[in-house]
Amino acid sequence: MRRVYLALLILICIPVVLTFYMGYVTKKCNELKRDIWEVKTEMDFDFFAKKWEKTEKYFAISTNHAELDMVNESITKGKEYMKSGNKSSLNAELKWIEKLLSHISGLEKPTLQNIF
Amino acid sequence: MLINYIRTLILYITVVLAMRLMGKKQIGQLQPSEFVIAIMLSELATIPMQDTAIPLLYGILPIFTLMAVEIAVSVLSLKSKKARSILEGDAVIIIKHSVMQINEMKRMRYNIDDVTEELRKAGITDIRQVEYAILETNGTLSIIPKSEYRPISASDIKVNLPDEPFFFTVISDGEFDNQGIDRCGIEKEKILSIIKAKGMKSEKDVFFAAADEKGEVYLQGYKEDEIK
Repeated sequence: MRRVYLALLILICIPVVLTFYMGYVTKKCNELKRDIWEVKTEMDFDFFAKKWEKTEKYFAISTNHAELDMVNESITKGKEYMKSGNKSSLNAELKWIEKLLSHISGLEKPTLQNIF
Repeated sequence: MLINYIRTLILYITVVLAMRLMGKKQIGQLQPSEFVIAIMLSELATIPMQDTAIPLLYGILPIFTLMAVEIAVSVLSLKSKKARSILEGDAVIIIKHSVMQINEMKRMRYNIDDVTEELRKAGITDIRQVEYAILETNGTLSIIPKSEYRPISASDIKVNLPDEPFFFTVISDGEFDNQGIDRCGIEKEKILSIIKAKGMKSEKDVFFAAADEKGEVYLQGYKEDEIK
């Protein structure tokens, strides 16, 4: 019976832990989505990039690494657009980062679209 | 990851359901077509389980398609000898009257080592003891020894033996097995009275109990030496 209890415990623990993890990913993505539009200077961008780097480590546990690479790529591009003062490209890149963050948090949600 | 968890559960249930619908034969003795289906099923289930970018239906749909094909093929094999011969192949005689059939062995790519290994597995070390060895469609080699090397049966020595009683499980791990009780035709009250007569309180004290159609009951309690 001990093995049965252990199996049940694993079956229950996995969704519980993953639900908490999903909550964490959604919360962090919302924070980052809010922060991205507060980027006004190069220093702000560096601050955002550092915050993203910290979060990315935990996101890498479950999120598709290709999605994380895309955010990293966009941050690098965004920094360059800011240096060169290319506002329209910078805005497009920030919007793209926002979209990616929404996608990352959306991917974790157990919706019918995601399951099937 | 929660998505992977849910998808894994769905696919597990789907595959188990598909295997059950295909029949028990799947598990024990795989024919060539069944072997192919079993491999394909596992592959189809694992890919969408891991990759959430692939719609789950890409896995489920082919699983049910394969299941339908397999059921259709099984029915076809059942009804038509020709279809069975094409889909499952025919049994081939590898040894006939102690002589290896070289041409058949070549055709089936069955070498001498394969034959001797199978003979050893059957406890035969001398090929002269073998009347026939037949390579079945599921790949097993059936070995029929010559009559003088077969084990003696009761009919050989003309002895009448009583029918062997067949025991059905009636209590399993402290719980009544209703299917077994129905099969042997014994009443629960009778089992309970036997349990009490053996010094136990109820079925909860019985680890295993079996009964035959004549009403004979074998009991085993939870302690290994508690056999009644």
